[in-house]
Order: sequence, then structure tokens, then C-alpha cells
Amino acid sequence: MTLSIFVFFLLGILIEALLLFDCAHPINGYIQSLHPLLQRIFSPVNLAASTLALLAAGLAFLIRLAGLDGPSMDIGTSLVGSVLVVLGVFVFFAAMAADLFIPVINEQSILIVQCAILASFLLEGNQVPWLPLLPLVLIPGIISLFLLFSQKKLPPILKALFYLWYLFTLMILPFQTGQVEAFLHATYTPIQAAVSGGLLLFMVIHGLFTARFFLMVCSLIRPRNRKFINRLMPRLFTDDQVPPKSFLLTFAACVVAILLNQVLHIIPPSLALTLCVMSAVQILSHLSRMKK
Amino acid sequence: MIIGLDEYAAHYQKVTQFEKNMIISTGIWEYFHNDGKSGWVKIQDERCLNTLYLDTRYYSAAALATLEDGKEVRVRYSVPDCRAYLDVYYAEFRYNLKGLQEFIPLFLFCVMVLILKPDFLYLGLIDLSDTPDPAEKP
Repeated sequence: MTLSIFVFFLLGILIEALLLFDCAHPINGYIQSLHPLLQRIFSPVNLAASTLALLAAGLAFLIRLAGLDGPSMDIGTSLVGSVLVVLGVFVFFAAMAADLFIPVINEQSILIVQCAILASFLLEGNQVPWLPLLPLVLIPGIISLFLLFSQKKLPPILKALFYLWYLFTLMILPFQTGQVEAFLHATYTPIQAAVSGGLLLFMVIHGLFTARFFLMVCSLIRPRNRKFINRLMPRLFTDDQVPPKSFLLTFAACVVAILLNQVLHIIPPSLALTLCVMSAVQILSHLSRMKK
Repeated sequence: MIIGLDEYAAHYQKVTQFEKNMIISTGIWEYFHNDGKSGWVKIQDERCLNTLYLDTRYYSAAALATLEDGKEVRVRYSVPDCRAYLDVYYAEFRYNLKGLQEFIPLFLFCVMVLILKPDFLYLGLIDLSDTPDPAEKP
């Protein structure tokens, strides 16, 4: 990874942090005079992300112009190492001691994650041989389908167990798609670097939160601890479903994006699949919040 | 980075003083491409946290034939001839045990959380003041 590519990698991390923050704590400041659709397009987060992208492109251009884009850098390079350490500390506290970046999900988000893993399983086979991937994915998939159609609401403790299962399956995705390997060895193009940066942040935040949530679920053995989960689950797992039309549109958009990427070869297929899952989870989080 | 064992040893010679038959790194054999003459082995090196590709031209075919994915390997530096050697040994049980041992602190931490107050897990997520939750039953 060269310096200019590292700039794009950081850009991906920053944009993803903005998007996740907006999912967890909606940023207001929409331009009221615009049509509602245009308000969404020119939302504060999108404007900030576009500005960051322009800045990154300009910075990368200047780096190349100044001839600083020479030797390849890795995590051992002092600049990369120190930036990643600062980011790592921030992300650790954001995931383990705060509520900054965890998007609220619903059964539809869970269904999309399971579908993505299933699609990857059918196309590539089980890339995580030490895990019984099919039952691990099919059971929550079927449960979320059932909940979607029956409109039943789960009690908080069952929701917590289901949410924990969702987090575990989300963590399997980068292993199944070979993304972990790609993070270590890929030679990135600017787009790949930005996408990989975003994915890295999304997965690290969810990974750390998985550990935290696992402990919370363990603590439910004692009845006196259950009052906390009753208060927490509405924040993480909403019963509000996105209208079927919007859900199917999101699903179809993901499929079209993956197929288009297969034709145009913009980013590696595995990266596209993981990116679509990440985007779908965040879009559904937005849509379910808008419904309120 | 594809390097041979000699280069690997030379790299370490810059940063450490070797003792006789010192184990300079341990890793897990993950992938092996071998047509009997060429190929490489990838070692996720625990010591320098890098993935190293060791050129297999340096090793005997007999040693390589004993390797499978997941086997533990280690690189030993031998002082008399100033060369590094790849040691292969069957340590799956030991490795698994090591894997389990890593979970012991987590397990103890979980028990501690269960026994003590688990409030801190919810730090930043919910209001931990004593105000009763309106959704809770009295």
C-alpha cells in the first residue's frame, strides 16, 4: 500500500464512521427547502462524506505530484502504525464503553446477512471448514423469515440471543468471503482501499461489540441482571420493519450491484458481497428509523 | 514477501543475538504448494506478527512431504553453520491445548462479571441510574 492508497483507506474508515454514527445517532440539519428525496441525497452525512472524498482525492493527487508516493507501506511503517493505533484505541472505546456506532437492526437485516452467507456458501463452498455453516445460517434465516411473516414480537431475552447469533454470523462473513486474507495481502486500487477501510471499521466495531454482548448474554443467568437487557434491546433490535417494498428494493439493489460488479470488475466479488451486506444493514437501519 | 530461511535468519540477526539452536519463530503451516521442486510455505509468524513466505527450494522434499495444513512449524537458528532450519513436529495436541488456555482468562472474566455487578458492560448504552424503566413491571 502506497501513501496515496493509504489516504483512501483512511477515507473509507472515516466515511464509514460517519455513516455508522448517523445510524446510531441521526445527524439533523437537512435542507428544508428541498424535495424530501433531495433532502436525503444532500443530507449532512452525504455532504460531509463527499467533502472528505474530494479532500482525499486532492491529497492523493498532491502526494503523487510531490513524488512522495514511493515505497510500499505496511502496518510496520511508523506513519501507518501510529495512525492505526490512534484509530484502534478510539474504536475500542467506541465499541466497548460507548454507544457511538452500533446500528439498530431488525429481522430484515438478519435475513440479508444470512442470505449473503448462504449465497457465498452456494457459490464458493464452505470456506470456514471448522464451522457447520449451513445450520448456523439457515436456522436464524428461517426464524427471521417466520418473524417477518407472523409479525410476532420476541421478548427481550430471546431477542438478545437472536441478536448474538446475528453478530456471530456477521463475524463469519469476512472469513467465508476470504476478506480476512485479502486485508492482509491485497494490493489495493483507490476504490478497493476505501471500501476495505470502511469494511474494516464495520467489522472491528461489530467484532468488539460481539465480545461485549456475549458477556451481557452470559450475565443473564442471574435474574437480577435481566432488567438491563430489557432496557437495552429496544436500542439494538427494533420491531419496526421496513415496508416490504423498500426491503425488496434494497435487496434487489444489492443483487444488481453484485451482478454489475461481476461484469465491470470494479472490486473483487467477495468484497462486493461484504460491502452490500454492510450497506444493506445500514440502509435498513435508516429506513426503519424514518418509519418512526 | 518471499524469502528463504537464510534471509530470514539474516533479518533476525540484525535485531537479536542468537544463541545456539535458538527458536527464532513459531508459526502454523497454512498453505503449501508443491510440485516436488518448488513452492512456498506461508508462516503466520507469532513473533514478528508478519506473514512470511519461506521459499521451499531450501528444504528437502522428505521434510516437506510430512507437512499438512494446520501443523505447527518452527524456525531454528543453528550457530555452528550459521544457517536457519525449519523444524517440523507434530504438536497438534499441544497447539489445541494452547488454544484452550487462551480462553481461560475470558472464562474467568465472565464468571467475575456474573458474580459481581455487570453494570459496566452497559456503560454508555443505557441509563444506569436507579430511575425505574417505565417499560418494566413494578
